[in-house]
Amino acid sequence: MKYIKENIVMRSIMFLVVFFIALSGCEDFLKEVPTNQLTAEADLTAREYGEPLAVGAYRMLAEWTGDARDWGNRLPNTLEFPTGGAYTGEPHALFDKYQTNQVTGNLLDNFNNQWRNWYRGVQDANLALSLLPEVDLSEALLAQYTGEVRALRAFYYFCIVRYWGDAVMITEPLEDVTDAELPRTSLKTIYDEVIIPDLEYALGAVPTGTSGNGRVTQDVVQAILADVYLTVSGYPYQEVETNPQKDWCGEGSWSMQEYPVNSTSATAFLQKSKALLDALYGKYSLGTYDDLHDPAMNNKGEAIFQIQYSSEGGFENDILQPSLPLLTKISKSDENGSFTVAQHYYDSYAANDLRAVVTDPIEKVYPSGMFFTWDTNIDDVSDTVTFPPHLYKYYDAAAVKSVNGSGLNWSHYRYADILLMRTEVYWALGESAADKGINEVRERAGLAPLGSVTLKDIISERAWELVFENKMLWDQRRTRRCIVYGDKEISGIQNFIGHQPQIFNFAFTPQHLLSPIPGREMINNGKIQQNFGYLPVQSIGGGE
Amino acid sequence: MKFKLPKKKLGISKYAFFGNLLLGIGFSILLTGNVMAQQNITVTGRVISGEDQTGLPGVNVIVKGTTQGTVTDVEGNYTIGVPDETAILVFSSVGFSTQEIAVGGQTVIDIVLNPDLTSLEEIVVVGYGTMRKSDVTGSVASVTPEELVDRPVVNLGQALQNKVSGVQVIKQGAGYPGSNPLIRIRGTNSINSDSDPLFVVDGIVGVSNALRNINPQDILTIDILKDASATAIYGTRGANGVIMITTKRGDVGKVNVNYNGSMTVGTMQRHNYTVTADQFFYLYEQAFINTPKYGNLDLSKDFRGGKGTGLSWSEMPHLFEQVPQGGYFMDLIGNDGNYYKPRFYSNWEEIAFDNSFSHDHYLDVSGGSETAKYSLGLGHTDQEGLLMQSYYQRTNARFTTDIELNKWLGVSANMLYSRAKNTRGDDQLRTVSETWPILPIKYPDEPEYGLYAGKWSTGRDFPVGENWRNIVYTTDQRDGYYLNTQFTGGLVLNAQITQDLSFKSNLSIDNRSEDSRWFNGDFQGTRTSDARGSNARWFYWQNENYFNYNKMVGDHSFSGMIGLSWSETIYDWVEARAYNFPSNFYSYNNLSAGTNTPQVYSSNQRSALNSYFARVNYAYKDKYLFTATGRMDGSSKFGPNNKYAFFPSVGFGWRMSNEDFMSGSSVVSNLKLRGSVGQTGNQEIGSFVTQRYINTTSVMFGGGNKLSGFYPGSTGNPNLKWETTNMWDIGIDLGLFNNRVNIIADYYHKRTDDMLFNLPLPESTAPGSAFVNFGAVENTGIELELATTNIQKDNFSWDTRFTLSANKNEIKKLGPTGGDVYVDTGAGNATSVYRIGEPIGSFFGLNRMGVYSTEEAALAARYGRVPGDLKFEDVNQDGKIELISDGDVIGHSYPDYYGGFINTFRYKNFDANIIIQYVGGVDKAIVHESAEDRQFVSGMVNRVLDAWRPDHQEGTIVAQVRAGNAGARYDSFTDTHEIYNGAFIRGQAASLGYTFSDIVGINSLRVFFSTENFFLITAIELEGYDPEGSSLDKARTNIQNIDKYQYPNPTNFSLGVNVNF
Repeated sequence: MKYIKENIVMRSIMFLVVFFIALSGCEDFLKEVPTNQLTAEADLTAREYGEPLAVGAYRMLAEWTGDARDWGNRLPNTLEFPTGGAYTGEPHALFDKYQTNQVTGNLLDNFNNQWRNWYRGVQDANLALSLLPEVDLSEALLAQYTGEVRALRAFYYFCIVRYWGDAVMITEPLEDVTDAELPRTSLKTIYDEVIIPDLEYALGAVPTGTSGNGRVTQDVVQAILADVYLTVSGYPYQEVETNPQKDWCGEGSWSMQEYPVNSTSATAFLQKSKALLDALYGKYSLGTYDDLHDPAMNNKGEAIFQIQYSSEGGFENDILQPSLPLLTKISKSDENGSFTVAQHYYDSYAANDLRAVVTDPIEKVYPSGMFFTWDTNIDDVSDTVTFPPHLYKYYDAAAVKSVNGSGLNWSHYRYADILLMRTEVYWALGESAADKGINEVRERAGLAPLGSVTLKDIISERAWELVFENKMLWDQRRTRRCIVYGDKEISGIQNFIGHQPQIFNFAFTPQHLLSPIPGREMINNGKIQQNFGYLPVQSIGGGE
Repeated sequence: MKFKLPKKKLGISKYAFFGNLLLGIGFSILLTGNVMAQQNITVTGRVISGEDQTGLPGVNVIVKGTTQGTVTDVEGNYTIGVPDETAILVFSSVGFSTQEIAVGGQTVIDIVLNPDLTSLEEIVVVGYGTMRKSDVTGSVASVTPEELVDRPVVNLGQALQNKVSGVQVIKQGAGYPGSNPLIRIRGTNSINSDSDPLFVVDGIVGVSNALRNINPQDILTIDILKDASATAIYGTRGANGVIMITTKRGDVGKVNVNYNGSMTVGTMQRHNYTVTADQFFYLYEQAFINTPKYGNLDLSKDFRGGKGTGLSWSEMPHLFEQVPQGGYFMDLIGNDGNYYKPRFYSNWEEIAFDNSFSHDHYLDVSGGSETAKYSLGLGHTDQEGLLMQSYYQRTNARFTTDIELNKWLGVSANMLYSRAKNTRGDDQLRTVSETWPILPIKYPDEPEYGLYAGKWSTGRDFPVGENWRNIVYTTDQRDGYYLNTQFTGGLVLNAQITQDLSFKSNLSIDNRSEDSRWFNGDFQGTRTSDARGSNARWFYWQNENYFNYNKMVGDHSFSGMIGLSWSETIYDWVEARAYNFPSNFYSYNNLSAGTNTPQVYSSNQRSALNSYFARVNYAYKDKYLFTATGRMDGSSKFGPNNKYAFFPSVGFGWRMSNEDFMSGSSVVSNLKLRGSVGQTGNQEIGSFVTQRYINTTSVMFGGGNKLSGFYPGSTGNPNLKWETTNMWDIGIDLGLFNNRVNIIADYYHKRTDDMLFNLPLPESTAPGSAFVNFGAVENTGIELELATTNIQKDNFSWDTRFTLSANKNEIKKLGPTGGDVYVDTGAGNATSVYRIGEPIGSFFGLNRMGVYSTEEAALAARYGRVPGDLKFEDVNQDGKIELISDGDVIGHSYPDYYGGFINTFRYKNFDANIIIQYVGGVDKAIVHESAEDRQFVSGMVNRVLDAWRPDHQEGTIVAQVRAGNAGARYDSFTDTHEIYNGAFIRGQAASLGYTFSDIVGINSLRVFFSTENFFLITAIELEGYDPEGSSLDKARTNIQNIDKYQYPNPTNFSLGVNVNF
């Protein structure tokens, strides 16, 4: 048959071809080599990797004004809503849940996103800290980067423990997915083993002086650490210290009320805080209230530690629209009206307090304090729109009147805060306090100086000066004191437990000293337990 | 591929006769005088059927080795010129054995053609080969060309729906033009990895986007491999079933030209009723009456003059005009004391939607000689959506050829090209429902409208709620498209080494790119305009080499196949975004016109597979059948320890009807029992997921100085391995009364283990989720297909086909702790849960018990609520309403059963076809809470008219209040109120055609009228446009039927022609 001859040739060729292909570099063919991203297996020892690792730890700071899901609901809102000093008629933010004690870990992304943001900051820092020692850097530069990163990790953890108490302690990158679920560690351990050592290390490692650009310097570390020391001299640290083994957050058996706390460690922390605040004292000066909402004054004047924003797309401060009065057409885009001081809070300012002075819409003089009650219609400047007092301290005029976003920095620490903390530390140590800063703050506000100060004076001044700078919740929790707002005055301070804010339908209980662990974490982390009194609680499924 | 004896020989042959006659004339002209000159001998004769001794019309008579030929007439007579006595005539006709007769000295050649018994057998395409359907031990279903294009269909999903049991076609985007349907074969196997079947097009494995990009008219047959015996040959890609597509190919000696064209008009079928302008004011009044129970009214949003402060009707002349007292059905009194009424009454649904007009054309030319066959196809479809400016346009081209190089070596080539474009800008439907009905599209450009004159309206113009920009405005300001181009093609070398042994080698590619452009304008200066353009490319190549061996020894029949393959997929993507354009003029066409710093992105990926596969078939006496397959797959997607995996299967068949004791049966004409068991895999996860990423970002520092920063991007899992599905299937093929009744029934059980599960990791310790092998899913089900020929007369026939599929899905294991995994826990999403013991696609939510009545004030107060607020079941009785703690599974988005009932009628030259679709045991989430619970925050559906009032305590809708006012709230959760019975019966399609067979110059002409979605029966209370599908932004792979204002599904009417030249 003529088949035969052709077949022999063809068969040979076929088999040859097949085996040639079969033998050609199989190993490499199935090897996976990512080309678009670095991986942990990559060689990251070259000098060029040093700074990006340090810079990575700054990334989550800008999320401070980030989104908490739904229109106008931003994260800074969520830190003011529980205090009783905020109000909004804007329905998306679900403020009524705070008013009626219906807050759960699943309330929008109020807790989910804060949790994610701050823990991501911790993870970013951990990645940098694990890799930086391998990078080819001078000792000084390695120390500086390590100091910056550790200061930032401490800051993220400081936020976490103040919001939720006991925290998931993780100081190295996660290697194995099966180790991802971790239980919480005592907040005292987090302070003792992470926050305080990180900041104390950073104090000696980072450059001295002020931060002109948002990078961590010694001044920044001093401000944060002073706040940390002041906070651990109060609550909940001091109560946990009475019995560190107890599951305080799970049981919610908080009961201590004295402030300042009379303990050896509290005094020692206050002394350390005092030293740092003394070091900062006099290095800055108070400018005008207009500086607070002027992007040109970013990192200048009384600024000590700010989050860096820019009007460039993707880097904006997102608190602008929420702070404008709801649907008033004074800006190019929507006004959310969700980051709004409650009327009774505004009414507590003294009549002559320059911070609260608003100007007459008829004369169209822009205000110079922290509030405003009128603006012009964006479509028609001859049309004036009036509204109840709203925050003016975030009013970045260029951004309000254009389609650009706001490039105004967010202040975490500014000099007025230092002055008030210093006053408080001296007061808590039983030393003369009126001349330690509070009167400088009052002087700028046009208020008479105080001869001697009480806790009420300090807390009131903090409420007026640092209004809606996301400080009040922390102040309430560390001092366990709440403000009773009065007419042109703060009429008193009350113990946190039992205090009922004017517009809430319930009184605070020990539950409210902490916030709920977010729903997403409760679902994804089988080892975490909810704070006392909150939903959702842990549920473990069955299966085969 | 399968060939059937034409049921209606006469009719079809008649067309063929005219067609071939015409072609003969055509060829005579085309092939020049040279051919004519060679026709020295004229041969005549008659072809009769060996079956009934009658003349056979339409038989091709060809002079071998030429393109010269003719066809027999109605009586079976023919006349043909041949060049000389050495010529050989080839007589062929579908369903008959081809005969070759040497002319010799004859001038009259009468022959008898006998039915080709082997071609009567259906041939099915299986992996790496074809088999007689009767020899198949696995579960394989086939769809013929007539079934595929019995009416104008745009994509394969539409064509397949309800025709094959066990195959669920999910219309994701409902009626959205160009939306990609999903196909699930025997349920959903996996939670996070892909559950789409594998598409094998002309041997090209894993063609992407086949469902959407392939023109159904280019397809000859579709064979669907459902069980492990059939799919395990595709190993890691076989677990979700395999759809084998064979495109049209040329036939010997017969040049065929077909044109199909149709025009379609689509109309709205159902409505989503929103409040009218009058209802709006009734509700507004009601809201302000109801609201004070929450606290003090915020009068700044109360425009009722004298009652509110600030603005009133009289201060909004752009929206209100003065009327005398009583001039409107209710008194709208302005601050000036005058009476007003709204100027505009907009029904946004009417404005947004209009009848659509679409057309479709397809031209197909095929033919060939003994040594070279070809087929060409060219198609264009232009589909308009009901929503303004939504469209889908696709152009397809196809070329296939089979060339015989010599007796033992052949080459085939297949090339498919498609280009499809559709609108982007699809998130518009919520706008339609939530824009105030009192707004115009645009204000008249007249002085009385002041600042508003000539401007587009927005929600801000009546400033109580969200700023919805009306649909015409957004459509004017936005533009964009997706453009998909795809080339799929390959060369196949086919060598017949010996009579028993053959070898095939193919080299194929699938090259697809998706371009996207998007422009979002400046909306009258209220935002920064932005534009973006992106391009994503996928390049796949494969090389497969395999031997086929067939041997018959006595009663034993063997066949075997062994082969190996390589394939690689390379993906890359770039995107550029620019901002702040000086004018909307540039749209997306000139990104450099944007003044802000542009942003650019890119990424790439690669994955590869290396496989070895084999199959053995053995049959004894055509009664006992056995098949075994195995495939060893190596994938780059997994870590070094788990690169390779082996997937085996076996199948058994017993053709009882061939046994002696049954062969005489007059009732049972065919009976086969089948059984199979096997293992398949799934590797459909992204590339590089086993590795731990370090991502980069840009961090802003003072003075606008940006620095690059590293951060942990993902958590790797080097131990990741294959997902494995074990499946067994038993089935029966039963033919009764000479196969006039055919029943195919299957029962299957599938269990997927080591499920590739994208485990959401705690955010406290890990960046995002990671793929792990945790979990198991089980699918069990039955499939039934009943095909009957009810009436078979010369002039009239009636066939029916009934399909039924029932699948039960259950999650058996999940994650490391077995805890629930929730998806979309926020309101307005239709929350769902993955929970052990429940099926994939379960809706999760609260039980809405109604509204707190006045008597329940004390109970309401326990939850901080007042009468008129929504009442949810507090399952754990802790005094708090919380979704996860008080929620439960409240619905299922996959049906318990579904199928179709297809009737085909032929009467003389008329044909008619009716397809009824039914789906049962399924729920639909109508997530319109944003237009129910948030009155005057956004526009409302008219269900709110039935809300609670002091004098109307019933209902499940929250009292009319303006949410936010006086502390009034809205409680929106996924809840039982949002879950509707999604069962339905649909008149899916019907057509009526008439075939003209006696038009000179045309072989045949069929004109038809068809309609789609011509009736729909649902539960009476079902809201929304359609029980099927999801809105585009809620299209989840595993959770179906989420209507957050989904695209309406049109009723279509088409007029078309099929012409054969």
